Amino acid sequence: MALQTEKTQYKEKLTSSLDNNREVLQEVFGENTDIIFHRFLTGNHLSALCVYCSSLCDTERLEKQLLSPMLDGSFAARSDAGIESFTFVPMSSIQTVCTINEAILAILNGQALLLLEDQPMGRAYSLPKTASRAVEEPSAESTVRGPREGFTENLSINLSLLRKRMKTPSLKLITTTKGQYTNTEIVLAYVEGIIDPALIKEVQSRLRKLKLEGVLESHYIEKGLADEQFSPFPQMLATERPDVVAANLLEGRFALLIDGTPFSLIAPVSIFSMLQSPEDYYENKYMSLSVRWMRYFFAVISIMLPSAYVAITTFHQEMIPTVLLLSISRAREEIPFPALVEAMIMEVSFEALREAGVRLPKQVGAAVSIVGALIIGQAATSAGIVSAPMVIIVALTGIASFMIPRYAAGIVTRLLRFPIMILGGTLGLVGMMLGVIVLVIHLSSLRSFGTLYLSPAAPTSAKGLKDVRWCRGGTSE
Amino acid sequence: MLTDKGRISEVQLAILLLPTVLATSILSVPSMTMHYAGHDMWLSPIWGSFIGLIVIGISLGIHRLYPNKTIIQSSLQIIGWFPGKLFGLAYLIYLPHLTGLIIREYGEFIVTNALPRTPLFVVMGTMVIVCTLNVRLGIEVVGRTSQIFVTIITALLLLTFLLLIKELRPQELLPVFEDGMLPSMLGSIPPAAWFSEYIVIAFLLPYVNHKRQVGKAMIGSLLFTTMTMIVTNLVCLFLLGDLTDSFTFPMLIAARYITIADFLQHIEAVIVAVWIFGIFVKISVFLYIFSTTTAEWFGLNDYKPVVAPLAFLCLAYSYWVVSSHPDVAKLLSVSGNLYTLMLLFCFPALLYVCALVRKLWNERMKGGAT
Repeated sequence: MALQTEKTQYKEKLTSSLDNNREVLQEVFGENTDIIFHRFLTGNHLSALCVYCSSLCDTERLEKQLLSPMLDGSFAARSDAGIESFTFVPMSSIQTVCTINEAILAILNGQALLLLEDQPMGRAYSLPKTASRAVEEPSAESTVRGPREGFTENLSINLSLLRKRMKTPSLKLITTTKGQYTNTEIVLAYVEGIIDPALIKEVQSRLRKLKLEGVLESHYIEKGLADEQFSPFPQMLATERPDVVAANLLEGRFALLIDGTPFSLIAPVSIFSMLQSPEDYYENKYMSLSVRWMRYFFAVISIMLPSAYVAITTFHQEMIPTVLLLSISRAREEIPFPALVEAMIMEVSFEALREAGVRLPKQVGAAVSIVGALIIGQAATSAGIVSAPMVIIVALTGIASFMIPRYAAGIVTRLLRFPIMILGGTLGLVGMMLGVIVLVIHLSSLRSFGTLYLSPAAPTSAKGLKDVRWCRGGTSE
Repeated sequence: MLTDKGRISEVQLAILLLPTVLATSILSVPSMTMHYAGHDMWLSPIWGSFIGLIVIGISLGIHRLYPNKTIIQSSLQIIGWFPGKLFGLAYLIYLPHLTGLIIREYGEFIVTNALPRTPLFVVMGTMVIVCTLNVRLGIEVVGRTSQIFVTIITALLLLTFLLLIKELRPQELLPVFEDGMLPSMLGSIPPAAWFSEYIVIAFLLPYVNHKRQVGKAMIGSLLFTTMTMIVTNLVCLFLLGDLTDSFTFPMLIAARYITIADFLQHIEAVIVAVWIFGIFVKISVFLYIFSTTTAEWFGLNDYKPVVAPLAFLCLAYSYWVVSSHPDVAKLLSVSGNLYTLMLLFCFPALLYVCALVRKLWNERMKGGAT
């Protein structure tokens, strides 16, 4: 609401009176100490005003490139007066500002605003000095083979990383601002000619409807644009790899790059894109094929294994081969808990360990893993609190959930494991299957920007399934 | 006016029908057929499939005469408002019987084979809740879930048959036609009852979006179910011989024979678990039909509000139709089949005849006028 009132409040145009403009701007910024109002006379004796935000502007460049040429005597010789004066500033990134609101936004974006006497408009020169990280290897999605550049928090760097990969005029980058207090820039990227125009219209209308107080991370946008608010599954793909964004744009998806976060969003997605790694396309076909199928298998394992163990040891012991049954029952002999409780204890403590590992400073991380391995792996078994097979099951489940290449999808498997485990512990395999059915029902009804989440598996499309089972051919397509 | 806005493809409908017919028939048909047909039981599904063919013809025929209407809606136009409502009422009374019976069959199957100490109500109640969720989301979701589950079931069924190959003794097939054709014909009544469930097409055709291909897809579906039934009967016969009819669920006994590398044994629990998927689709389809039929009969715009109460009604019916486990088998084998054939085959057939007569009559009147 604030932005809207601001907009209505400062809708009026800049006037030709310099003093008037200054008064209005000074009233807006009030007592802000980092907004500098610099009044001076140009070389040709025009009175001018330069307004900028000292915390965002590179003052050194401002002096060298904007102020000194204007104060210079030669400036006077080259131009007579008025609007012509603007053109002699040796800078390329220039924007014309006509309303008070535009002026405010330009100043807050780190641009230096130059106003001249008798001119009902101003010029905003981009002189950014924002702290930003260098381009580094993406830490959340690493590959062995493939580009090692990752997005940073700086939007212009991110855009250059993307543009560098796709040198075509068909790549459209459309900027909007969201967040009434943060005014975060969001860039919608898509390739014209590949993407369905209806999809772009849908995204733009959803973005227009979106009202947010602030955008600090990509999830703020993801949450606002999602089709189904109550689903645990991510309906947009968050990635910090420019090559993943480029590949998805080529497949007819769109991407949203958001200022201030290295994660950009890709949609529409299906459950299979959550299980694909960019490396699948960079490695030998047969290798990535087997790795991908292994990933599918372990994705199922990461949801089902603990519940299957609980269900089988509690309800269907006859399924376990006799020799194995003997060793399991020997291991479980001393355990005071039923299998379900045992599994719960282990899974919860594993989740706690994992969470602690993520939050702790890097220096302490190693200590946590040692303590975790010793206490949970060794001491708990020898103390007779949990059985050794259960430790194996939980460890395997943990590894399986790390195999899911998308972090957001990995979290879902962590979450879903628990209800299915309870079902498996109360109704055996039947309960597990009921859990699976509910999961499939939910996935069948889920859509990501109109695309079905289970596509191309249901409804079946043979062409789409080819990419799910195999990998897209590299150079031939 | 349809009560659901969703649409499915003709292939989805065909896939949807596979578990609708097969889910329960694979379990209990072999022993029932064996009871009448003896060694020739593998032939019975072929005779039975003719009923399926006729039923598909009736459904497509009625739909051609009265397009984009379910059988309940078109009956009002074919035989007039009051008789049409009576016709619908018959289904309103029959469908909870059928759905309740399927739910009960599922409950008994699970309780005897997987969870002997779990109360029947819990087993059936959880399944009904899950089906209600599915049905409430509309025909599209029902179609998609069935696609996923049919893939899993087919793979599992194929695996079971493959693993059983070394145990089979084809000589059990002989002698063929020991007492002539009649026993196999008599034995075809149970499969025929299941094949008559193809009448669900008449309720679901308006939701299909490519109607041209429907006929082909339905025949494909029918061929698939017939083949599956024949193979199932053959496997049971080859494996268990004359003993087939002494078990309620011969396929499950067959699964017990499976050993993989002397290590994996007793995988029938897995078979039971996966079979839940099939029964889930079947209950969902019938619950969906029951809900839409009710909504249409009362003239509602949306079927969703009635799903949950009707699901509960079906759960109650699952106790009312039969009182104990032996009753299920008895009902299924004798009177149940005739009851099913009556409503799923004879009534629609009569309706189709009326529709044809009406059409002829109209044409003659027009002809007379000109």
